[in-house]
Amino acid sequence: MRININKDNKTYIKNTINNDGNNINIIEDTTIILKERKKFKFSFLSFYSVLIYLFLYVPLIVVILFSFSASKSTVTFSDVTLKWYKELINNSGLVSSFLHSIQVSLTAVVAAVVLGTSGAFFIVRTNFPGKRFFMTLAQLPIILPGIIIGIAMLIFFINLRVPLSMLTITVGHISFTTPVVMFQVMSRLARLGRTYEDAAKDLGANPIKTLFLVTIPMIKTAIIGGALLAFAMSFDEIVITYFLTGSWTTLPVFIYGMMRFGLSPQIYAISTIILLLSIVIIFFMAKFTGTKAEELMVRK
Amino acid sequence: MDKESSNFSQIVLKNVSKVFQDFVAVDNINLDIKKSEFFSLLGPSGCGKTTTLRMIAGLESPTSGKIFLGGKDVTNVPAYKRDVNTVFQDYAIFPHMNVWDNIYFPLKMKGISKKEAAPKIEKVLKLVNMLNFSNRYSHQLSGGQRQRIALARALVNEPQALLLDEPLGALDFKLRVAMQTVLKDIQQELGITFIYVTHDQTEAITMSDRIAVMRQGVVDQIGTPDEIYNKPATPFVASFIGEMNFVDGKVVEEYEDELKVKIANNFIICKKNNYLIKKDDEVLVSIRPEKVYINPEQKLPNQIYAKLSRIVFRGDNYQITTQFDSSELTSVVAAKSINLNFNLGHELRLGWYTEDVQVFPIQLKKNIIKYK
Repeated sequence: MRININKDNKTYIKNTINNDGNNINIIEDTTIILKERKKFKFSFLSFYSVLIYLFLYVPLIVVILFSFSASKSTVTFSDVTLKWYKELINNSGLVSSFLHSIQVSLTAVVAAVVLGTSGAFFIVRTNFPGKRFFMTLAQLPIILPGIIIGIAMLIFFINLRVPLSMLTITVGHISFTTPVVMFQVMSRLARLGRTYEDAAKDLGANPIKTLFLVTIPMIKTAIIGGALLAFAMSFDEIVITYFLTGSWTTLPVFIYGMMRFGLSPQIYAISTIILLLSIVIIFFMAKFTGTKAEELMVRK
Repeated sequence: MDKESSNFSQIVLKNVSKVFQDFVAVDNINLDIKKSEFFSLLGPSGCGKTTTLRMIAGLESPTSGKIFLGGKDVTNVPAYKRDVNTVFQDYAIFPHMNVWDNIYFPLKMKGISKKEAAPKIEKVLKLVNMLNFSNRYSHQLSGGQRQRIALARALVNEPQALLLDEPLGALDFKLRVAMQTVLKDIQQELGITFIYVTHDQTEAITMSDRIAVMRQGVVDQIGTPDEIYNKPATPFVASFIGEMNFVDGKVVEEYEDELKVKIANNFIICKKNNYLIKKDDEVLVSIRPEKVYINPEQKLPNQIYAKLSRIVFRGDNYQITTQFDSSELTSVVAAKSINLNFNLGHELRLGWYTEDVQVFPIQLKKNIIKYK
């Protein structure tokens, strides 16, 4: 049974199967099911949920609040000020590491879109022995602890005598941004099926035109969503980066370095900025991925 | 439609087979589809009809055999270079383009400018009665409307043949019947060859000029709806289309072009056909229920006596089941034409004409489709 609530919110269409085995739509009054939905019972589960949310968000709120506090103390809140944010701009190391981070993340995302999308086509569209095993391998960079990947890559680069630099960090990031994009695109491609491409070919489009005029427009949102998620993950990645960084460093590693001299409101300020950036990215990502987004966005 | 001028072979399949890994989807079939013909591929799911259609479209390549389109060998020509278009089962209207752009797509692939395309698009939209929908997107259309747009898009390039893959399968009954008329009218108006894949025998019978009935990758019979219905070539075709009585028998006498068959304790006469059936062979005899007359006024060539076992009223007719020995025969009679003052168990005289009976070797009994 499927239920669609009509726009007027007063009636809904219930798709069900009647006694003869036929699919039929029944229009019914929504008051019944809406009442059902409004009921809220205070239960242990809701109490528990509230606790979890507090646990997750109170530390974040504290960071945001104290980034605007005039005093250096992290216990008492004094006057509201923006001076820590101003100091960030004067911290040349922080600014350059911020730019480094953007540079690394953008490069890693572009590489991930190219590699991940083509990889997704390969996995969805071809059958080869050991396909499942290959897919598991492709997921490893996301699943394995960063410390393992970091150490492995460090050993790899040292043996090849590649100096630790922007290059090594970027390669490290590509290793986990690629599967992120790949799995987003894979699920979209698998759901899409071959019919649209068959139709395009049938109507006279050669394989290249089919790809650019039909397939890519239809998986575009999955690519964008995957890229945003990959950017968010790359931008605040610290563990792998820490192993692969020389004197050239990214923002999370720089902040980690700053913290060795103790917590400071400056760190709260930069954390708040990163938090906002992440929220914006996640918001757009959610818009572009998932089945519901697919229905909405593919059409546009 | 002028049948005489349309003897040109539009599509020819020669010994075409398709094997998927170790599954034979299409097994050495031969088809010769004429110009302007409404040709149906009919069969139960998994019989290879869609695979056959996809091979004609170029979306699958045959494992062996050749396909000719308008006299040219297109076996190795890719789909996008073949002058045929398909209406897919789920229509495949591109969701990121509106109706106009969807129909423009095949023209654009031919390098036709939007300006040149406009009158053509208007023409096909008019043909399918969807002129006011050119700005809509697929999700803003009903199933029947999507169907019409898919049809318009496939027709706009005026292909040599239009391939339709169960196009009405997803529609409800009334709409399906309405669309059958729309399709048939369009086909007659444009004179384009239609190849129509369906599992719905009624649809195939009512719309087609000729039908190929397929079973497990092979074609059992090709013929006009009348031939398929009245002269089924195999028990499978006989059972797949319409209602059919099957009775086991044994040949007791062989004449020049007739066979005398013993059914239980009755003797009937059947016309010989292409099967090699000799005296003493076990056979399967088939006859349509509406060809079995109950207590006929005049004496018919074949008569048996059987006991009435069931009467079912079906609106415009009665289905009457009778039993003799271990066999069962049903007949269908128009509701007004019979006096039904019989008790169950009453003995009836059943009769039929020799040409209405088909006789098959008993080995083919396994191919009978049994519903339920």
